[in-house]
Amino acid sequence: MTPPLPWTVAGNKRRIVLLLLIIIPSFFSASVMYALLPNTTGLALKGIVTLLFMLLFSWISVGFWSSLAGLYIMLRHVDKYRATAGLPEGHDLPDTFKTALLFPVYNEDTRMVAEGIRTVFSSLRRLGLEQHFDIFILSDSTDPDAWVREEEAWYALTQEENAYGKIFYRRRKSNLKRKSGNIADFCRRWGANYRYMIVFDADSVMSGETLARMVQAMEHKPDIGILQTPPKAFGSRSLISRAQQFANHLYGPIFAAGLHYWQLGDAQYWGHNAILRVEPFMQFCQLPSLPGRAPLGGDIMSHDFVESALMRRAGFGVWLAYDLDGSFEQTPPSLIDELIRDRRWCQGNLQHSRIIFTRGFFPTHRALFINGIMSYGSALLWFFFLVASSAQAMAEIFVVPSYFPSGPSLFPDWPQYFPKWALTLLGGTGALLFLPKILALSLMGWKGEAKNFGGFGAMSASVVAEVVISTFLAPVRMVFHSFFVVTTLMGSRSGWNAQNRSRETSWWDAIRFHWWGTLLGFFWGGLMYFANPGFFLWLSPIVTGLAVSIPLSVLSSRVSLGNGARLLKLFITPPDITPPTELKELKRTLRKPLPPCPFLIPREKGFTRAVVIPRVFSLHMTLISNSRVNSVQKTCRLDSLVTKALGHGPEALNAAEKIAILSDRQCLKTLHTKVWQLEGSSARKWGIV
Amino acid sequence: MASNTPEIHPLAPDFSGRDRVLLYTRGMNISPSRGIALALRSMRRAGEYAPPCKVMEELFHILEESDTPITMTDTAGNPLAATPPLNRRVVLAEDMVQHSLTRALKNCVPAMIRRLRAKQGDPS
Repeated sequence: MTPPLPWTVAGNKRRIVLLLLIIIPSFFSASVMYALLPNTTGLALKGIVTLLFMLLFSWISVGFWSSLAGLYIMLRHVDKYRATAGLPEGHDLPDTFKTALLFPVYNEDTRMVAEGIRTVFSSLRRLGLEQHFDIFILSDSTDPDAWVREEEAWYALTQEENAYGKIFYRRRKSNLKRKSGNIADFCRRWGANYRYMIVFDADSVMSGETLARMVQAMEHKPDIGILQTPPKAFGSRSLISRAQQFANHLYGPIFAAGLHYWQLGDAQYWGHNAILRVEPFMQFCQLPSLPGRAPLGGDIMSHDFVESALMRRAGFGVWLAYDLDGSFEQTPPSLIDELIRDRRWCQGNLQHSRIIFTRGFFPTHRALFINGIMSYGSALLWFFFLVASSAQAMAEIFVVPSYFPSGPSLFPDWPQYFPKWALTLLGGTGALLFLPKILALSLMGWKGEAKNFGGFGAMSASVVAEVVISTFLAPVRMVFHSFFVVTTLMGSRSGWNAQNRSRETSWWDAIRFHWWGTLLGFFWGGLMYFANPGFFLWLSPIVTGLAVSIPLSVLSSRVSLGNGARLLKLFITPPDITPPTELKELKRTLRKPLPPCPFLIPREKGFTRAVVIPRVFSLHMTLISNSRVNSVQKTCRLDSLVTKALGHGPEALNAAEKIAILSDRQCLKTLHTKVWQLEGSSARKWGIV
Repeated sequence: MASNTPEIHPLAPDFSGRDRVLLYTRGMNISPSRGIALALRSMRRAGEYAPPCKVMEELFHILEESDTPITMTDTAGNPLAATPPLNRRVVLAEDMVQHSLTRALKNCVPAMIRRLRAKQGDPS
């Protein structure tokens, strides 16, 4: 048996301490809770409330102790288990291998993706490192317009940056296994050419220096299989995303350091902004489909957690480089977009219940799977806790207390109240929730970094504002997450939609999405107000958040309110004060007007552009490859599509029909030739005037 | 009938064929002079005031006759490639056999004892 790695011993000790720190206070607070609850409503209900309270208390303890551990690391300044410890100065890389930078995209905002890639490439070029990296845009797009837009963007990038042979583009015909299948497809085709790959999200950006440090870390420690960076939020404009960006910058570093403290080499891979050792990834981390059908069977949706468990099982460490800056991502612009993303993540995390007991997984990764499930399961527990507490409060009104036990007794059984205990419990729970925020605030003040958050006063006010916003949003998230958990367990599956990264929420969308939550808030609040006004006061933050969820959702998505908050110096983050070169450049290139085009066809109409504009047509014809001879049926079908397109214009075709035309060279050529020979209104339908 | 478009004299010559072929050649990935030359040739063949369909038909004939490739090429004249050459490897999905819950719990204690012994250097 191989001797355990030094960090595994330290890791086991730290995790045992963490467990004790969670379990002991949770038992203690649960016993206090049990004593505080009145006996009048029966032991069963009292027991349920106490049990749920204990579970929830344990859950919030994890975050609390992680933050404290993070604070300890950041104050101590010495961490011998840091993944980046002992790296050489500078950013020199060996010439013996190349690293692939992968940008998986799926019907994304092409301009945003392309400019992000340009930023990364320019950053590498500034450091003279571009020869060490190849960039791959790996498309899974199913939207024909997005497909052509991506091709145009790739071509423009390679021409403008003189990066032909350095930036590549590949679109998969089949979306098998979604993002993990997309990466696996890359590994199958070109993985053998690279020692490392760095996976990006469609909206993520990393600095050249950080990329170089990641490669150096992997070279320096050959036992690292995956090195994850903690991405910082950027580019937020709406109120909710500004608040999240602020939280991410202020609390994130401490929390990430805390996670590292417990996890060490058993950390998680978050799916992007991470470097992976290609060979073991190809050999040991390919995902099977789970037996059974979705939502809990089929393709594994939250693939990243499973890949890190597999990498660890293969004997390689998975580390969180909490001290690496220069890694950025965007946050959802609205509550609805966040919840849509959560729906997908919830299904993915619940799927992990099927693989917790996979042979060979390390206990920490099994615990992390449970942690992931609890990220959404805790919402349901909280909901049950509130319902049980409400039932308890109702029962107090309607059940007549029995002060005199049925058996012989010298004294009556008076109800006893312990206000000091109640306040201690409330204070303890409050400390678990808010102390990490106060500690993060103090740390930034102490380190002299408050100026990067607009000054200590502005930073403190922002923390208060963030707490207020989170408090109102928490019950909305709770009911939605509970709904997601229940519907997933009942067999409902989530789709795979492109993420919205900029849109504001309309009133109609908010009503459609939140009407039932609003009704629940009014009904629940009204019931408690009339039945037990004392309990209503305790419940009011919850029911108020639910009752106002429609305006909350709309207003929090407003860019104007985000800008307003910025004018008031609220939610200021370091990138607002001293933006890194990469983010400055990204902002500049996104503002740059696009080169003029003699054709009046908007860039969004990718299909029409591929059919009409000779240059785009040629590019598409160059990039598609179908050498097979079509069957008679297929030829007839394609002919009828061409006739339909010529007669009724591009708008008459659906996405599948457009894809069919774009996928066939002969068909596209015929359509292109005939469209240019159209006259009058038929030609105008194609933008030819 | 009121109209916002400027009135065209009924006897005015029709330039739509010229405009169409010039628009097409402007959109091609070729040098401007070659584009104009192509447009001129197709107009000469189709007739000075021929309708767009006729001029474009001639242009496509000329392109076919001159073997102008539809596809794009790189600076070395090779067809543009968006991907590097394939270097295929077999990638197989990992085995993820599940322990049953009872078996996992049953194995848990002996496994922990084995690990502790291994740490203490006990070969058994």
